[in-house]
Amino acid sequence: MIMSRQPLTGRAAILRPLIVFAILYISLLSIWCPPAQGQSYSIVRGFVIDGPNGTGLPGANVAFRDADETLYAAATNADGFYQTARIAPGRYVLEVSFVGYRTHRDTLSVISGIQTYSVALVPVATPLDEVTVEAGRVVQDAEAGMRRISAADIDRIPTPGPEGDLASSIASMPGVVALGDRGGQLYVRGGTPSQNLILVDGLPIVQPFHIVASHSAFPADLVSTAEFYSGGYGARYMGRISSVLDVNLRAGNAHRFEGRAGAGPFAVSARVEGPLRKGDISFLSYYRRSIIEETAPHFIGKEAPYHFQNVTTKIHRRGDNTACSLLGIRTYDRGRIDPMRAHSFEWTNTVFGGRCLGFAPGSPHVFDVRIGVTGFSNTVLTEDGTARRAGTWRFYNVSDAHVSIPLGDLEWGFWSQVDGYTIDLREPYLGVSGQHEIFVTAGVHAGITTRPRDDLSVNATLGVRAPAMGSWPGLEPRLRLSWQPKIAGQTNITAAAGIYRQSDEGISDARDAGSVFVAWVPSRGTLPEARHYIFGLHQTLGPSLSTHVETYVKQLRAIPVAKWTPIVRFNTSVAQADGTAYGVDARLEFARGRFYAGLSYGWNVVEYRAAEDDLGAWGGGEVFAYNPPHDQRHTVGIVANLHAGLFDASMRWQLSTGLPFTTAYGYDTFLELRGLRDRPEESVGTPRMLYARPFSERLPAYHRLDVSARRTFTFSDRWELTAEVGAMNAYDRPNLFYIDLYTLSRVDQLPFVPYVALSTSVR
Amino acid sequence: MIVRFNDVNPAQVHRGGRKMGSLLVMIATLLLVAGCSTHVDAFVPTDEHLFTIFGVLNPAADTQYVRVKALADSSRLGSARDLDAVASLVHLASGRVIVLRDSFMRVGDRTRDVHVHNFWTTEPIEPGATYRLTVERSDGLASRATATVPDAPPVITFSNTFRIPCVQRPELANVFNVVLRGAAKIAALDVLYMIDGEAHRFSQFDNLSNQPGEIHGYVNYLNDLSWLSPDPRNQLCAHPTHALIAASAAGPEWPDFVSATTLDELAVPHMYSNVENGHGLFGGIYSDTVVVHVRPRVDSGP
Repeated sequence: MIMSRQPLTGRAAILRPLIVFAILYISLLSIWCPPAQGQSYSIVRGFVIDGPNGTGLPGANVAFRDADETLYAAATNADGFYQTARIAPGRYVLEVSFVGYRTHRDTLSVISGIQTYSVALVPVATPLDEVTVEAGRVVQDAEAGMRRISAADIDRIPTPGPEGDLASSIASMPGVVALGDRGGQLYVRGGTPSQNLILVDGLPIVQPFHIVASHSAFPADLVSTAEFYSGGYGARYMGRISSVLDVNLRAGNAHRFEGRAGAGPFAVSARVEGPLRKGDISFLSYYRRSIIEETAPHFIGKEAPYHFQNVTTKIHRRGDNTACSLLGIRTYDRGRIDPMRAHSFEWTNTVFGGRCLGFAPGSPHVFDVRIGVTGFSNTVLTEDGTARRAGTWRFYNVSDAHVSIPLGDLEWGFWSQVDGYTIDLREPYLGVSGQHEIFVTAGVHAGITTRPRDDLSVNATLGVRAPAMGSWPGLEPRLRLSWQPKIAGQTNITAAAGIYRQSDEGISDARDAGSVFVAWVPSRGTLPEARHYIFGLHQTLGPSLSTHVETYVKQLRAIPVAKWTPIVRFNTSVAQADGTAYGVDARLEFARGRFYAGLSYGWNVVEYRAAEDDLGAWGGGEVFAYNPPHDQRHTVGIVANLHAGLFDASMRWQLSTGLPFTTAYGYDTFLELRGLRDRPEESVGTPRMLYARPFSERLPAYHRLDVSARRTFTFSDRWELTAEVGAMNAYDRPNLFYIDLYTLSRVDQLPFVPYVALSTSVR
Repeated sequence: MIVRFNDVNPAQVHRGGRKMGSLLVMIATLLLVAGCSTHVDAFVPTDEHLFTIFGVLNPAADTQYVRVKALADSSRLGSARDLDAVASLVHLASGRVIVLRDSFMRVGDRTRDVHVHNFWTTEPIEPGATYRLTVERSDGLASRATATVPDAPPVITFSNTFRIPCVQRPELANVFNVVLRGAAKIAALDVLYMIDGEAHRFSQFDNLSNQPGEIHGYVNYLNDLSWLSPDPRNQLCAHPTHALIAASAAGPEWPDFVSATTLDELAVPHMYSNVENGHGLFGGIYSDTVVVHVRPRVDSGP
């Protein structure tokens, strides 16, 4: 049990942070100001749902226009919930619109106080008139460091069926480094995979990306919306210093039963959903299992020893004032990263929890409460007898709230969590070591979103985190701006800055590119910290063309990095490095009618600096500066999608310059002559790998083209069949995935893989 | 959120097209410059570091062994059979050359087929002399190391008595003390427990401490013999017939190892190496051994 991070001792070590924490929490409660009776303003709120199936519509526009043509607008969140700012009582024309649905228009007498108004939208067959608003809307909705991803965005990326996957979308973004098509490790703007916060319906999940990295626990079939912050996020997201992926799964159909089953060369999947109580309680279950292990020898002529599966079940209830869900996810991955070797990796995720969004009639407050447990474990077994097992679990509860006040929207919340960490390592020649720890943390956050001018939005938040037993709380202030000056076209200038800290860290062996084993450990001493600075310019260049340029700097401090050792074994002892990540991401998007094209470019630099003695490196100097293995300088991506007649065609091409890696110049066995414990005539010694200056070389560039074409056959109102043909790595580029420096074995990424995928849906 | 449109100047669209064109040119350039090669050299041997050498010269030993591994040999455990190396010792004072003989020796336990190149000689080693070891490749490049052999072995004395069986308490009932004199540095202190005619070696090097004019150590034989106990439930420790204390004085170039506490630190290649153009450690030691007789413990309780 870790009792403190700093030298506080005795009762003070426990009481002091709790007292500070309690004062802060009570202060936040005191600024929660309930509305007085006889108030002279109104707040309108409610849900916007899909009429036929009863699921919430995220991102729908709700606009109130008074007699003076003054406009008050709100957008729905992931549950389809909206709430206006304070508006004057009176008569309004209401418009509720969403792409693909008939716009709902009404005249509404808004009375003083809190008013609920929910809308069920009806889908229309051809939403082309709405599609033309794409460029303007994308620019206006832009936020610093954030990309919204919808199910339609996911479908634009060719994935070897039977459906698209969020993992492919994320990996195609500039600033995101995926080491390869196996392992599922994502590095975002200089951060490491363990510095990414991944939430599904507000519940954390550690490693949702599968061993075949184009797949994850987030297939397009399940995802409603996803918000991906590559930095600069507000204080409601605490505990990770690099990025946030906030995924919202859709609810099941609350009116009728439906299902889908599909098969592709990589996986088979099935989904079933329907009402548990018609109109308000629904369920959705999804199961996917890989079959690439069985199919690969037949269609690519190579062994592909990868297996994954994930099962998700969501039960959702929508009341007049609440939207509550229970979610369970289980993922399992197994495989050999190098098919030629008996290294076997395995990892599992387990997530179970509930979430309730709601409000009390007459109260201006909206609550979002989550509680649950998440677990992750991973194992690697090697042919030489190495067995490494590590895992982490977390029990947590989060209570967030927001309320409209005269200054703007006030948000605040409280969270607490208990984390457990387990490591068991068995290394040949080196014995067994283990570590088991439990750690308690809690925190509060508060902030306000205000509009000092019509064209300026300011979001200022402050997070306070404290180990429940231990050191003083740390403050994490964050600021986000959005300015839409009225100049040519539509312009949105965004900026964000903030301080981020992390209380635990996943340690992986950086010597082998592509190593997927992660040992989670609580951070020792100074907590890892990042300071983010983001500036973005988003501009329409016409009704169909928009451009987005964003530059960022992340100052990194006390980042745990695995110590360098020539001994060939996994090493959990860490050194702390400081660093800087900076770069520019640029996107050019064209969307007109049935055609979409996006061109992206990212330039990124990551530098770490550590005391050479701490790091165990031998670079010649007191401070060792290096570019870590995720320092990918240039990435270029092209995505295109065309709805042409009966077909949907998609392509993606990606180019990335090579990642840093370390060369070896020799191999030997170390004889410990200290105390003459090893003798030449008796002992083998300890295997040792002697490497040159770490990360001084670069791997070859990566590029790949994926294409697909899809057609849906409608046999009746109740039955559809979708067929997809495509090819991964269409020109068979031998992209390097993995080099094991010890065995000098090279593993390439997927070769040319043609595929056919079928899926059928029944209502 | 409300979506509005403004009129757009065609010139802006034209500028957007120019930007896209520039990006396409950049992509093409990147592809041409960086995109074609897929070759990777992950193993790049260097002439700066040729061989790893581990070994000691000990006048008290019948045979001297020196482990030599070519760093350019990518074998992970052991060595390839072919080794392009000639190893020789030069007695620096006299210039006398001793050519060491190569052997491709199997080492370690029998479950692993690990063969290494141990160069050896049975030529006598002169106490107090300095030797230069050269391991030379056929192209003339070589790794070298120099070692000075101590004048004399340490004088070993011990106090307390080695009594069997072991007892749980008092703690010091299973300990005897060792005092080493006449050596400025100690390379090793071992106890060899003789059980059924077989020697079981346990290093006591971590139990040494420097005192004025001498070096003190102790042997907690319960710690060692409990590993060898054939019946740990009923017998705290194994019963050796006798034990040998072996201590080795070290030559002046022998490292103190004070800054290394873990194997990772010891194994950093430049940390404790005296090998030029290579890695490893080559030193001079001088050993002596005394016998410790086992006495029955008459006061042992249940």
